[in-house]
Formats: sequence, structure tokens, C-alpha cells
Amino acid sequence: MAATNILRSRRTRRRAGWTAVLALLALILPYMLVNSPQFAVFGNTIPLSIDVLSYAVVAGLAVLSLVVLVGHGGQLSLTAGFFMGVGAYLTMILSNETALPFALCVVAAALVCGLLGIAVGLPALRIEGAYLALVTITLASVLPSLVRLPVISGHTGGSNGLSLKYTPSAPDFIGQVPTWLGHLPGIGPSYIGTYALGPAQAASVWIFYLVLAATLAVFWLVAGVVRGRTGRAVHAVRDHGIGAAASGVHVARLKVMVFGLSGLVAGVAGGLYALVFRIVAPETFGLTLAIYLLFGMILGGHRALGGAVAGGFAVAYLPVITGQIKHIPAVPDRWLVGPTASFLLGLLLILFPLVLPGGVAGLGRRLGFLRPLGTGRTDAPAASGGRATPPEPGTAQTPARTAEPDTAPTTSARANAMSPNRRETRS
Amino acid sequence: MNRIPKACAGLATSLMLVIGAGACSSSVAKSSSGGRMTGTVEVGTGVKADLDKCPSTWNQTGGITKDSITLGISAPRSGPLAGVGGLADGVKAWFDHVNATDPVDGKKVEVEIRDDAYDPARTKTNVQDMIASGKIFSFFYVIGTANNIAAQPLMSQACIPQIVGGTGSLDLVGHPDKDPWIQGGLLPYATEADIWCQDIVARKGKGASVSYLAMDNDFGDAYAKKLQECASQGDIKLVSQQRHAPTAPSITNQITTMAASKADVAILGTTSAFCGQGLSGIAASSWHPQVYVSTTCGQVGATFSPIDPDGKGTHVALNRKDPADAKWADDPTVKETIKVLKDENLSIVGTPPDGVLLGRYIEYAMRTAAKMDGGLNRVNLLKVMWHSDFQNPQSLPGIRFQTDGVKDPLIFDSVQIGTYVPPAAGEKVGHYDIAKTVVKGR
Repeated sequence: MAATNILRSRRTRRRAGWTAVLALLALILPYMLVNSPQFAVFGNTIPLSIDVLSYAVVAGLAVLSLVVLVGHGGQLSLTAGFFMGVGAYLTMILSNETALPFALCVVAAALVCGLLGIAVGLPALRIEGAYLALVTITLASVLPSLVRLPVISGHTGGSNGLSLKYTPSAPDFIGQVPTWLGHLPGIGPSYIGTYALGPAQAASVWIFYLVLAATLAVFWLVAGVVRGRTGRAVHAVRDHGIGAAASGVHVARLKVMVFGLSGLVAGVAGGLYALVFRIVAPETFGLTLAIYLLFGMILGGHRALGGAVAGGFAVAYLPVITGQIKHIPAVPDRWLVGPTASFLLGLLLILFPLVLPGGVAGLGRRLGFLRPLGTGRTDAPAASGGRATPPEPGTAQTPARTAEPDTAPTTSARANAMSPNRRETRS
Repeated sequence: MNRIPKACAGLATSLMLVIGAGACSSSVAKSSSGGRMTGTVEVGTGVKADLDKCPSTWNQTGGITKDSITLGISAPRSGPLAGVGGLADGVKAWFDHVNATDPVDGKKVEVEIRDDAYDPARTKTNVQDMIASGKIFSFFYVIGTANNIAAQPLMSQACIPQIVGGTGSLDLVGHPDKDPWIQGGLLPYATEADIWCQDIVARKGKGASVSYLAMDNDFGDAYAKKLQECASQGDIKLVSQQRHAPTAPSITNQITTMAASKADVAILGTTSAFCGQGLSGIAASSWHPQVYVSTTCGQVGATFSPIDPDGKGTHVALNRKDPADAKWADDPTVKETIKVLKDENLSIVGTPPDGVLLGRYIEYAMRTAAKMDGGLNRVNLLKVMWHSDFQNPQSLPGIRFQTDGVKDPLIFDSVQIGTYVPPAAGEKVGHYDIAKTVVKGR
């Protein structure tokens, strides 16, 4: 028990430390990036704008929808880009054409995406694996044509896309923050400056915080579902459907529900995308985005909720970075003339899974920053009223589970298939 | 091991990174001379620029330093339309040549290229970043209508011109009295479709039956709308109207349906590989219409050579000399274009030669502006944009780059109709027979 308390204490402190780091970054980064600084690497100029930072957060949410569906639900799907597009378009149309507050437009669009997700999930009861992937690829590529249909192009803007009329106005203090940050000893005057932001810059920063808050809320909700009883049942269905059904789990309902949840999350991402960029166009939500999001999920770690954040940053920043590369050490510049961004991006898409087979989350586990999959929550009793008995470190159970790759069904998950009421391992 | 130090290390690393990012921030370019211009300036017939609406930090010489002038472009360099972005490389290649031989106003012209993968959101971010950098004197040819809808308001609010903008949308480029900061750099698709109509009437008389295929995007929409207008006026009779998705793997079904119509004329209002597919499909059928293809497919090397002789007799609206066309093999301008492109390891097939064509005009505009009172600045550049008269040596003889404010806002509005002739025995590439008459959109 003493050992457990020490571990819990260390984990709590570690978590507090990381939370402080991330909170500080969230506070400072938007102000660092609001003036679009450029970063020089090997003679390449990499722009770092606040809109891309906001997009990284939004993309993290879209990747999360895939983590839920593919990683936890076990449904090989490429629908995230489609639902994100539907969410973005619906949010814009509702905001532009009705008097609803913008936040309500996002919620309404997300709910519609959730319902659409359920509709898309129905065929998944009959088909799975590569066949399901094939169906969802069709969906991923259909949106650009759909929004151009003459019957709806009056609302969607057709080929020219749609602009958001709603403009959020930032509270006054947002524009004043640089003045306060500028007085930070050491870094303030040199790297932030002591100036007040203009309305457009303040709005960009405010949008970042709104997007971040909404994203954190959705992550929290999804984590609650995934780590709760429903999540355990979902994992049971994923790992051993027949066993789960034999234990009384309603397999069909759960599968469809996961599609609905995934659609809902991607719909929120779409609504936030509309807020960040204030324009949606057909080309944005095609097959390329679907592939990027799938890559983001693999890079982050396909069952790691936190990995979705890393995946989102990859989705947002890798195309920006590869598009700017004109010089690579030891590579003649003439080889980098022309449209080489696709090639470089493709190369990264191949290399990342090879170098990081478990994604960023897997790397975090190897380095000890994240708990290995299947080791259970040692702080679970407090959260669950003391129902669970966490495994003690050093017992025979822990190393065996730690050694399991996160792509394979875990022993614990198979056990959960037989007993979905038991507290599930943390993903 | 206690984890707090790791978190501290993380904090330190993160701060180092953000500080590093700040340390590497670009500096705002300083204007080379003169105070800020104010007031409303007439920059062309019926075209006025209200400089009082420009940002307080704006200066007419922004983006010009004592050594350099920087131009900016956002273009697709990745994704399915990455090839279109090759135009930016062509412009850069031309200015590398100019910098080495006879610099504009004694300064080096730098071209900043940003990839947007044809995604309007990325175009907007790119333009926003480039404006914020303070380095850009003028933008040019930001590609795509939706992309310009997203990004042009930023350029106009920042009072930074976009010379030869990459859109044929008349809503954006046809009203300089509403927005003087953007000039069109494309033959508007509606104008091209109107020219087809005129040519069909001239060759076949009124009421010829027409079957068309248009791509399912703004580009195809513009063709389709104008052809329908033309039909409603009785100039042509539309007997089959087909569309295809930009991502379609094949257009075989559409061509089969068009062939069944047995129309007198077939129009392929599409682009890239679809043109070749369509021409081959028509050639393989028992249907022998007079075929027109989009000017975007007008390149001999890219469209016709791979399918020779299937494109025989095809009509195309042309306005420039094609470096891959055997007809221009001895033309000094074409030779120079080929050398400039080859020096930069660029292809003479595809969009890079179009980049050189535009580069020549941008060079003319900047040199002309530099000779005006006040020298090279954004206001003088606007004046040239809205009052140009330039015989681009890379254009077909008789086609001039002309504008005159609201009276004639389109720099590309006239063409000559070319008829493709496949290579004869012993020849490697085909050529166009080009009609002497210059046709102008109505």
C-alpha cells in the first residue's frame, strides 16, 4: 500500500508538472505566433502562424474521432474527413442563415454528424475490415462533389466555397496580455514585446482559446466514455465480439454507437475548423484529408487519446513544413525544384510508422512518460469507489501486459470481453 | 526516478523552442524611400485606390529594400494539383534570369513561394503569414477562385497588389472600380467559351449541334454557364451536357454518351489528363465532330504528343507560343524561354513556360512603374496594372497585354484559334496551324 501511495504521489506530481508545462505553452504560444514568426531550419523558412496552431488543435479532435472508431471500436474507417466537412459546412450554413448563436450551430452540426455516423455505422454491422474501409473511402471522397450539387450549392457556395459571416470579438484583456507578458523578466521584452494586439490579432488568439476549450471538453467527454463501462464493452466487442455477445453485450448497438460518437467528435472538429479559417471549400474535405487524419492517428498511436494531439499537430504542420523545404543537407538543391512537397510528405508518411511503430504514444511509453498499455490505473480506487484492485508493480501480471504491443488484443481486454463490468485497462 | 525533473526539462525545452521561434522571427522590411502616400489616387480609367483605408503600418514601398524586391505567391505544390504550381517556378526562373542579366531598378527580384495544396484555408494562412512578414511588395497569381475568395480580402485590406491573379472569376477580377488591388491573370473561362461560340457560328453557321463535357468545379461551371447562355441566344444547340468529377478515374462513360448524340461539335471543357482521354475516346468512336478543348490543355507536349494522332484537327484558343510546338523551334523568344527553364532544371511542358510568360509581364510592369514619378512603388504598380499595353514576346503575334481600367479590365481577353496538326513522317512533335484573326471575348 505504501508503494502504491508513493507511485500515486509521483504520478500526481508528474502529471501536475506536465499540466503546468502545457498550460504555460497554451498561454504563451498564441502570443508568440500571432505575428506569424518564421523559423529557419537548414536555410528553409518555416512559417508558424496562429491559425495553423488552432488547426492543429482542431485536427487533433478529428484524429480523436478516428482513435475512437478505429483504435477503440476496431472499425477500419476513413470517415473522419467526411464528418469534419459536414460539420464545417453545416456550422457555417446555420450560422450564416439563422440567428442561432455560433456555439449552438457547432453543437447542432455535431449532433447531425453523430446521427449520420449512426447511419453510416449500420452497414458496419454486416461488413468489416477491408470491405468497410472501402465503403468509407467512397464516403471520404464524395463530399467535394456533394457540396457542388446545384440543388444545394445555393447554401454551400458550390465550387467557390462558403465564408463565415460571424466574427467573434475578443474580450479586451486578450489584447492586453502581451503587455503583461512583455514584462516577464528575461524573455518578455526581447521575445514578446510590450504591445497591445489589434482587433484581428486578438480575435485569432481568442479563437485559439475557444477552440482549445472546446477540444479539451470533448477529449474529457470521450475519455469518460472510453474509460467507463461503455468503453469496456466497446473494447470487448472489438477484441472478441462473440465472447462479448455471450456476456450480454449488445454488439450491434455498441458498434453503431461508436460510429455515432466518432461522427459527433469529427462534427465538432468541423465546426471549430469553420471558426478558425472562416472559409470552407470542397477541396478541403476530400480523400487527402481522410488519409492525413488516418496518418495522424497512426503517428499518435491508434488507441491513445493523448496521441491524437500529436497526430493533430502532424496533420497541421507536416504539410506546411514539407511545402517549404527547398534545402536538405547533402541533397542537391536542383533535386528539390518543383512540386517536391508531395514526395517529401509521402516519404514521411512511410518513415514515421517504421520509426515509431507504436506512434508517439508508444514512444512516450518506452521513454516512461506514459504508462504502458495494460498496466491498469493505480489511482482507480479513488475514482471508482474502491471497486477495483489495481495490479501492484512488480507482480507477474504487470510485465506480461506491458510487453504486449498496442496493436494486438490484450489479455485484459479478452478478459473484459467475458466481464464488461470489470474496470478496464487504461488506453 | 522522480518525474518532476522531466517535467521541468520539458518546460525548459518548450520555452527554448518558443524563444527560438521568436528569435528566428523575420524582421519587417523597411521602405527604401519616401513618406507614406495618402488620399484617393486614380490608378486607371474609373479605378481609384483609397490609400487612407490602408493599415497604419502600410507604405507604398513596402517589400522593397535597397537590394531586393519580393513577390509572393501561394500555389499548390503538393496534392493532386501540384503540377499547376509549376507556374511559380517558371516566374522564379524568369526573375533569376533577369537578376543575372539586367536587374529591375537595380535590385534583385525574389519570389517567395508557399504551398497551399489548393486548399483555400491554407491559401488564406499563407497570404496572412506573408503579409505579416512585411516582406511582400506584391503578390502574383494566387491560384484558384475559391482560394482567391479566401485570400484576396486580406491582400486588399493590406493594400498589397496582386498582379495577374490566378483566377478567371469575373466577380473577382472584372470590377477594378470595386477592388483595384487584384488584376486577372487568366483568360476567363466564360470569355473562352464565348470565343468557342463565335468560332462555331463562323465555321458551322447558327444552330450547330453541340455536345460538351465540363469538369464539376468552378472552372467547368463557367464553361457550362456560358455555353448555355450561347444556346439560349440561338447561336448553338446543346444536345448533350456531361459533367465529371475532378477526381474521376476516367471519363469513358461521358464520352460514350456524347458520341451517342452525334453532335456537330464536341467541347472538352476539362483539363490535364482528361483532355487526352477525351480526345482518344472520340477518335476511337465512330463519331467525327469538330472538337474544341480548353486552353488549359493547349500544350502540344502535355496533351497532344502522348496521344498522336488522336488530336488531329482539334481547335484550341491560344494566346502564347508553346515551347514544345515544332512551329516555334527557331523563335528567339522560345529559345530563350527554353534556356531559362532548363537552367533551373524545369520542364518546358506543363505550367513553367506559362510562368515565364507571366514573369515577362510582371517585369514590364515593374520596370514601367520604376520610370514613373515616385519610382517603383505599389501605387505606380497599380497604375501599370490598370493601364498596360505590352507586346509580350512570348505571346502570339498580334495579342497584346492591354488593360484600360474599367473599360478593359482583362489582360487576357483575346486569342487566336489554333488547329492541331500531328507530326508528319520524320517529325517528332506536332504543331498548330494558327488562324491570323484575333478573336476577342464579347
